[in-house]
Amino acid sequence: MHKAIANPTIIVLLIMSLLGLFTTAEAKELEIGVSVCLSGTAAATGLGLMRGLELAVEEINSTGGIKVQNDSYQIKLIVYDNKYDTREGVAVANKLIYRDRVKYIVTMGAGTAVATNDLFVENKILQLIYAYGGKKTTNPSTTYTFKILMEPIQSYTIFLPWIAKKYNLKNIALTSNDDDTGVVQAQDAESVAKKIGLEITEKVLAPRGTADLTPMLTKIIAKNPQAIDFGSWGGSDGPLACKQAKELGYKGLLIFSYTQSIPTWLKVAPDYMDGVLFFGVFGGPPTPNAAKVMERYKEKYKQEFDYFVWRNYDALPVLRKAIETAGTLDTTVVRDTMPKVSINGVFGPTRIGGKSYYGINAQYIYPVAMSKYDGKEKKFIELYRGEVPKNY
Amino acid sequence: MQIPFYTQIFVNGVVLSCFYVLVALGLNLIMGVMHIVNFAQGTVYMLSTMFLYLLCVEVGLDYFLAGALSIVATAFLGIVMERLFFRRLYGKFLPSLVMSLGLLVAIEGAVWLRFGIVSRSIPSPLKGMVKIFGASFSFERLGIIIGGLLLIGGLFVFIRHTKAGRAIRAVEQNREAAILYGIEISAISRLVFIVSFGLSGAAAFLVSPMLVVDPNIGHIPLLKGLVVIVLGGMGSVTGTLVGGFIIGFVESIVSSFFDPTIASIASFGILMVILLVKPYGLLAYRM
Amino acid sequence: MKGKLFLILACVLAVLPAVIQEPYKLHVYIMTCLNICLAASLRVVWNVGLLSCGHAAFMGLGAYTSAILARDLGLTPWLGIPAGGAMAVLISLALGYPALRLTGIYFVLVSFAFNEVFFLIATRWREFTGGPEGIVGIAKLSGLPSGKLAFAYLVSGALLVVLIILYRFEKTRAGRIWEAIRDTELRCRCVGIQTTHYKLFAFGVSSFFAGVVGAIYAHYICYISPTDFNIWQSIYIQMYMIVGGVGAFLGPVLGSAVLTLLTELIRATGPLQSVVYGILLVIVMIFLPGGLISIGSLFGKGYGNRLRIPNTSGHM
Repeated sequence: MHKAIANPTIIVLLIMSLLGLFTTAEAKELEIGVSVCLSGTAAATGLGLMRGLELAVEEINSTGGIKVQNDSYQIKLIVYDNKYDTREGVAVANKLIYRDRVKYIVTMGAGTAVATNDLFVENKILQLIYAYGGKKTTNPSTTYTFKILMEPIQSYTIFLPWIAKKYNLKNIALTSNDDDTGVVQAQDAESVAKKIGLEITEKVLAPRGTADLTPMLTKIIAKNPQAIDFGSWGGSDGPLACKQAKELGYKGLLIFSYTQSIPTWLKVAPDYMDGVLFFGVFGGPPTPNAAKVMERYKEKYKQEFDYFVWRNYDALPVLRKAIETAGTLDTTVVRDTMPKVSINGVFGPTRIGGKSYYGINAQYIYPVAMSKYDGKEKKFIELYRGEVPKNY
Repeated sequence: MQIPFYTQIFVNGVVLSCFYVLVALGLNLIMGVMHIVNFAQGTVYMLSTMFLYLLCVEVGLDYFLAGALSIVATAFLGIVMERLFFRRLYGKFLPSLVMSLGLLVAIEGAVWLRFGIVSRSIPSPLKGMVKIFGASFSFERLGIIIGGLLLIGGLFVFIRHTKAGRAIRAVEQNREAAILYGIEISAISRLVFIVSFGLSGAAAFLVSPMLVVDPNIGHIPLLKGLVVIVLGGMGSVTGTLVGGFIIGFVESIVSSFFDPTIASIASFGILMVILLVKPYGLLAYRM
Repeated sequence: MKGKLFLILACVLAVLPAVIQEPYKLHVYIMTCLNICLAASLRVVWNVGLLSCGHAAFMGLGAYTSAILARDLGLTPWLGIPAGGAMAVLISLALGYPALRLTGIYFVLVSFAFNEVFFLIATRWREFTGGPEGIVGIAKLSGLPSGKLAFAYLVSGALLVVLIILYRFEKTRAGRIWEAIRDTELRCRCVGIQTTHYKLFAFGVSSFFAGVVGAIYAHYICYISPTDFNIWQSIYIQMYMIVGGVGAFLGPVLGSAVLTLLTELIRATGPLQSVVYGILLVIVMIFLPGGLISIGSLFGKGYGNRLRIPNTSGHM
């Protein structure tokens, strides 16, 4: 026994473990680049994305940051304005990758994502995109890119059959914007509508911010469709379109399938909202998480809540889980880990899938809901909540 | 439920035409008389709408009072801008063009910083609908039509029958001769800016309830305003009226038969064709 | 004397890419070179006394032509680029024949309208141009080593060639007639010069280079969409030219370089970017209406004063 305590091996081991106790986990910084639209027509969406990311970063940093091995990383966002322009987006991506040397980037804009895909793959930079890009931005060659919001194709697949059955629809008119987001949405609406056998009475695309939508609506309403789906019309155009349609005397079903800014609606067209269907609106906050996010938003920014924030909040928490599960910041390993993790996000269980449609598992998937506004009660009544199939 | 297709298209056309005429009037005066390219005119319209919003919604004034105040504020802005910026670059085509672009970019950026995400709306003082031969439109649109026609009438009287108006026409026709006749150019310049900006302010007052309030609403008035005044003949009030109605009706009809994108192509196409046949616009030199 | 200047320029352009090295800065360098070509070619039209607001549309014509030929016929970009230029020339001649009779602001507006129409057609004709989603995965220039350095050298070389060609043009008989037309069109007509033909020639030359630049851009970024060639892009090119100064050949060169770099420098200011940019434009135009190239006029009489007030023929 005397011999065992004085055994040199044990002494060395003792000293090493003592040293281990004094090695504290250092707080390091993980820089994440953000290429977002902060000026021009898409700036409202961009600001929503920025704030969602900021709130998520706050939560992550205050709960110990991202833990990798013994270190914990505090996230720092490096933000640049890409003006929703491809040329600017390419310059920003180059700057973030080569100058600022970040390994993780959040990008807004399908055009930018497409133009810079080679850049990301070559340099092994993990990209989270916030855009309706369809298969253009998410396909087997975009190996380092993940799309953080569900696309119209998924929403329409979940909701349109239900709506058609409940309201006994035989036909529908489609309208959308003529920019890249709008065209994707219109195509998705059309493909799902055709699949379930609805006759498309009219399909009209128009530029965002068109001065007066009445001429376009005149064309649509003249054919007397049972329902009109407004595609990617949103922002301030959404409530205006609704108001002008009702002013023309339309009495059919109005469907707004793009995330609407509810505060804008309540300011612009509160008297016209009765009976209108809204995708992506839950009866109230969909989960306690969502309610918390809403509270923190109001506290931090002292403004009415921007519902776009719910759609982008989970971008970084999922990434965090993937990094922590992978145990490394190596983007290739993290990328392979992403499809294996899931979190309890703002809308409920959030995971990554999409291989059956895109050919690659790179699509964030979460529950979505649809509500109808009751003008008398002045609130949203949730009609249906759904998810894509498990093997999507 | 059927709507009377053709009547509705006609009504839409009238409303759209009045909208285009209203937003083009201010631009017409500045460009036609002072020969200054003012790309910031759309931004002036937007600023006027912002004033209106601030006074009406945030301060809580009555719509008509807020409107009067915002028109005055915009006209005053005209004096300021003329003195600070445009006076230095008289007759210099290129620099005034780029400078007005700089103003556009800077002002819009600043308004974005102040206003942020939510697009707003100004509640209309006139609620309710009206039906004409079965085609419906709201009172606010009727207001645009009536207000627009009144404004044009008033402008006409001003230009033709007042001393100031005649002085403006003199400067437009021949600047050197006007100087020889004792007309003080700087005073006229200031007057033109006041009236022109005031007209944009009036347009904002009449049109705002129909649309929304956000920093980018100045683009369409600028773009389509340019088309209208060049089509009609720069400097000519009658020309703006004619140009506005042509573009308004073309767009209404084409939008309802095809789509708004093709309608825009048609507008620009018509502009190009008319310019190639009548290089100075349809009614140039006839105020 | 000017020959020496070009020799210096050639050396600079040959050495710069190697010195820069870092991929992000190389990207900025490439875009700057392309912008210089655009601004310099726009100045050719200015030299006949017209301001074109549709330059980006010709750039777009070149880009789409080359991209579509590569996509549908598998044409190699090396041939696609001149093809793009050729298409731009064709359309510019078709437009110019009736349009060049107009002067001043009217020509500005016709070219403005043309640009808008191009943008709208590119957006609407989805089957052919890919619509707002654009054309994806455009072929790269074959035979070029991958990476930005090689492309930067290519663009350096192209810039040098373009500048030399444009400069030499000004010295030819056509070039001097252009200048005469800009200054006193009426007199030229009286002397029997077919001003419209010369204007058409200038317009064609200018559009050719715009088309070529567009095609090169398409094969560099490998993705184009209508918003890359909308009216704002035309306005940016105008700004490069005007802020640089139209009075001298190097004006647009200076303007493009300064403004492109400025955009990168103020990128970090975030939402303040547009305000800063706008204010700078206003200040430069008020104090240096002749553009940056006339900066000498601030320091004393004589030098640069000639450039202080940019010429304009005809009235608005």
